Amino acid sequence: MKLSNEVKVGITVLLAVIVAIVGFRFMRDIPIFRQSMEITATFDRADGLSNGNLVYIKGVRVGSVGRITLTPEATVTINMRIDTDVPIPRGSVAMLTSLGIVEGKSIVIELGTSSENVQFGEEIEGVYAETMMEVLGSKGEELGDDVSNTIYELNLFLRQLNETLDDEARTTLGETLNNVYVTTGKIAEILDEKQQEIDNAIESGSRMLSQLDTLVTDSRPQVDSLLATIEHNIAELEAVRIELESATANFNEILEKINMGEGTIGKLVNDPSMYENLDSLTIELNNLIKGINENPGRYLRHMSIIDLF
Amino acid sequence: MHALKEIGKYTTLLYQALRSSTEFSTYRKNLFHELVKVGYDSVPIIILVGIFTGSVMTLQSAYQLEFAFIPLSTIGAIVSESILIELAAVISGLVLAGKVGARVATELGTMRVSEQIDALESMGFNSVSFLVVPRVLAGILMFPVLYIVASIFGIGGGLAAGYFSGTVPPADFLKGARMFFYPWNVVFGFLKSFVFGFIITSVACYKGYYAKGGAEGVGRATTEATVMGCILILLADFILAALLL
Amino acid sequence: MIEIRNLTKSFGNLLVWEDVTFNIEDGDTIAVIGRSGCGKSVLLKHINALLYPDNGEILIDGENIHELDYVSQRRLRQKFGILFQGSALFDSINTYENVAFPLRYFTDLNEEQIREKVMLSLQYVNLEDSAEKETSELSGGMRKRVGLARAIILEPKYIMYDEPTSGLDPKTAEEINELIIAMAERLNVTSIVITHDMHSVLQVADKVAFLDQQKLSWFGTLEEMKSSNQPDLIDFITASEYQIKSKQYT
Repeated sequence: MKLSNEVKVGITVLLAVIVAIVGFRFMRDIPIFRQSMEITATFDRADGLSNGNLVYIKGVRVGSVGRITLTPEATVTINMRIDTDVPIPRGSVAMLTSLGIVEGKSIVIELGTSSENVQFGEEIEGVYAETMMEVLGSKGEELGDDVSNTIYELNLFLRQLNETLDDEARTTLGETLNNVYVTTGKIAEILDEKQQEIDNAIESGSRMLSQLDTLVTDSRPQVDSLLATIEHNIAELEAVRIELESATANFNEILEKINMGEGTIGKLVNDPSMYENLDSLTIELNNLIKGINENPGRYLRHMSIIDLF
Repeated sequence: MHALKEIGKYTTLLYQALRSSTEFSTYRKNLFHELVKVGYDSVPIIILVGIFTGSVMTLQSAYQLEFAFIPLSTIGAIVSESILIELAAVISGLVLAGKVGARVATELGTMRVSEQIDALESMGFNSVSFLVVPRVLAGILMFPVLYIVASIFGIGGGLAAGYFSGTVPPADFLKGARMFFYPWNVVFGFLKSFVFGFIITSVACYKGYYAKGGAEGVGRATTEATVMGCILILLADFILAALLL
Repeated sequence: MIEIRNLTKSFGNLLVWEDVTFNIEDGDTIAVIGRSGCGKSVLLKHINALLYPDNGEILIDGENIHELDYVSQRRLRQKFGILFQGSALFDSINTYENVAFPLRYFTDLNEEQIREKVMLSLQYVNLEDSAEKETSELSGGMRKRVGLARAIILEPKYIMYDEPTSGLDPKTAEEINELIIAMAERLNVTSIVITHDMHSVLQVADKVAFLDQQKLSWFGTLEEMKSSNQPDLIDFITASEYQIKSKQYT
């Protein structure tokens, strides 16, 4: 079949456009034939996050970060394309975090518990989680000072060492180094042989680390709230303790006074005649109650319930 | 002085082309003819270029990164990024400077020295709109299309090379390619191919249109069109990178 | 009518000619003669505004072609048919399409009308059998004739021939000369023939313009030329006559 020029051009352009769109969506992880869910979240900041970073739910990749915009309130709103059949309940939290030390930022959605689900375009809460690297970064400066001090001292030490080493010692040292060199060679050989195992070990190690990390990030809110409660409890306990302390002091004072025979109770405690009076009073009261029990009419004849109160 | 004159003539030709680009009826037929010659006919060589670029990139990156503790997915990222941002546009640009640029310069040069351009003019044709506009337009329109072809086959070739040589499993390759896929890079590559298409065709048209001195002059025009095309592509690549990255 | 007034042209420092003035009346066949490199073709390209003069003007039916805007200039150019030295056939299309080419772009004729006109035009130049030939298959003389068929397809008022007989054998040159006369008679056109072939001049021309020493050295009718005693003109003619005679003897 002879194709006209127009048809050839049409075929070329059309195929290229289709291929470009499909390829683009494929590379961006956007479902090729389906409209994906879109939600937004607002964060205080979005360091290191960029268009195309991944979104996880429970460690499973479910989508990617779309547009990142700075709002007039100087917060950052992030669009996310989510492609999953799992509904996202209202009250879910998007955490901006990093899954590993070297990997870039990503967003982890902690599912909420509400029975209502987030709809297309809705916003969920965003939390910026500081990562290990950033903590390290802020500590870096102090660390830097320490390191330079250490290096200075090391230098000093080395200089002294150099002064103390004579030629003979140097020769010996040379031999030692030679030995070390040979040993290193052997180690290298061993390492080469064990390369695969080491690789595996490193790989499982890194997998473990990332799982650990995910685990930590997963349970973060619970731990946070638990800590907050504990803190609150501790604070209350402190107040109680202080009250108890003053109560105890008062109590001690009272006891002291009692011991000295001051006040009613003191006298009560210190004067046996009182006790004896009370004792006889008790006996009489007992008798009286017994009498009332045996013959209530005799005592309560003119008494009505109201009078009694 | 000579260079200034050349630039002036080139700019004048472009201005004439721009001014006469409204006479669509004059060059409609030629435009489709050129779109086929620049685009459709270049697809096979671009596929070839793409596949080889991608597979060589993969094999060499794999070789260079063999002993480092670097995840295999990095190779996918390196290959697909380099192809999208640079190689798909520049290598196909250089290849097409030879294929398209030489053809255009020869065609127009021959038409010039055999008085065909004068004949067109004397018939009342606007020879710029008839000859230059469709060729430059074809370059501008088809190079981005060829960029897409080169990118797809480049990444595909890289993926295949990784798979068949056993160095990079396709899953790792794709993981890396996707992780470092930034749409801006594609836009940038697209823009490059657009600019290269313009450069190659316009320079070739210029050299051909003003060719003189018989067969030898045509040969000179063709050589200059190809060489200038390549140099300007590299220069434009640098300028675009400096301006936009 | 074409009026050429005080035309001067130089390329860089090289003066081609200066102060060239003559008129081409409607219906005339004018031969512009002169040695190779005296600027005959340059004059032709000025008349068609393919080149611009340094000084002077060319009025075509009263319009100064060099001062028109591009669109009107192109309209004016369509009053001309040009047979180029190398025929300037478009080598990407065949004979028929070459002749039909201007019709396709400048007229609204349908395919049938185009065929009719193209075949008529090819008939004028005795080439109706070669319509479907590729241009690369044509001989030099045939190319000239196809070029002529193409030049007359838009029914021009003026036809310009740039060295129509150069590079052809005497017999073919003769045929071309006959065609030039035939065109002038049948189509009632004004012809401008640029040539250094005196044989051709004697056959076809009514008037002669002689370009020599960077100016219009002589202008007059063919009869006046024959009886002229201007030395450089006589030189030029005798040199050509010697050629003509030697042609006849060999």
